[in-house]
Amino acid sequence: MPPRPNIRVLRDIKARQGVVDNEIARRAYLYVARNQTLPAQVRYRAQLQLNTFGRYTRPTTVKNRCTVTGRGRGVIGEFGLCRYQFRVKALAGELPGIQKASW
Amino acid sequence: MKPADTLAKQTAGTNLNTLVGPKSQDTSPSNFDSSSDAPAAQQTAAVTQSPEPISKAQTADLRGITDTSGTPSRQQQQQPAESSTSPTPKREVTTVKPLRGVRINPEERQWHATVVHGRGVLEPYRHPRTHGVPVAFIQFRAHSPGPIQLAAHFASHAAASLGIPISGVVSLPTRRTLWTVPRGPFAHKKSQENFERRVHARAIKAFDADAEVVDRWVRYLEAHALPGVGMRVVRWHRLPVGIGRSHLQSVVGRMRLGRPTDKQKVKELGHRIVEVETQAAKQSDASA
Repeated sequence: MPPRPNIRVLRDIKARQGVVDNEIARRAYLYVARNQTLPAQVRYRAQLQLNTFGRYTRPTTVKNRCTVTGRGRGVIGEFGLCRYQFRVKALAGELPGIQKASW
Repeated sequence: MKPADTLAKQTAGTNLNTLVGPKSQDTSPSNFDSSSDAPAAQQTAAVTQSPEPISKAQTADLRGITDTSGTPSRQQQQQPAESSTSPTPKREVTTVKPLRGVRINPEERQWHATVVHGRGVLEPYRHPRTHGVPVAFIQFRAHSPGPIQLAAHFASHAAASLGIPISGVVSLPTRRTLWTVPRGPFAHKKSQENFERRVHARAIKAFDADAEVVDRWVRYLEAHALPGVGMRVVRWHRLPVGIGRSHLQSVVGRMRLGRPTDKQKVKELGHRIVEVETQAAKQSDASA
């Protein structure tokens, strides 16, 4: 969470929480909808149920954001930092093992 | 760490006196002998005397040993063979009172006599493998090569002291991760900066030793781990011969197998099934 939270960061947090809460139900419906051996009507109804889930339950809504600035683009997943913050911290020596490359 | 304890356990049965040599000759580097001196004075003499170069007589005694557990005989051979008559200036022995309640272990003292002082600086002695059965595999990983080399060196020396045969220190390939990021917070993609993270790795493989000895070695290394060096240990444990059969027997004993099927019972069951099914069929016909 950045020092002054972004609305986008807050939405992302809400999405993550929603995904965690609804994962089991979503997976169950998804299994039924994708299963070739089940009758077509059952699969269709399962798919309709899936469509009723809101956007804060879908895992595709989740986006890695910079933990310091909240930037959505240019985020390096291993550190959870956007590219500029990664550079700032790396030069300060706060990232273990990272050094300026030269070869 | 008390290498002498484990060493004593491993070399149980061997005559430790042979490691030192006959008492008549001045063999031990620390001048430790069962002379008329009191144990306290002996200990102080050993502590305060400077390490003298090992004479030829001493190396000859130690070379005659076939049992190599804990004896760095190879290191002895590496030392320059000097004549026993070379004049070595001896420092004045100053008596220092030992700590109260210190008990001197004669086995430990004998082992100390075989130790080459300053062997930490030399290449570690590698005990010969008795069977070549791998027992443990230790991997060190660090961001820089200096500490990792020291860690591997330290582990090798510890294994030599415990009598564990090891492979040499293997340098695994260095893994390098590169990130190229723009220098500025916004735009200016043409000016970027490279950052990297290098992970150096070393590996040591241990053979043949008892599980308890390897446990001690691993705990010692964990207790004296270097900062910035990570260690991963893979252990192989020996199981007794016939373990598969005994496992199978214990499992089969728990399962309800092996009772022969009763043909009569199967026939009776078959007849019953036929009766029930025909009755059900008649009822369904009657209702339909």
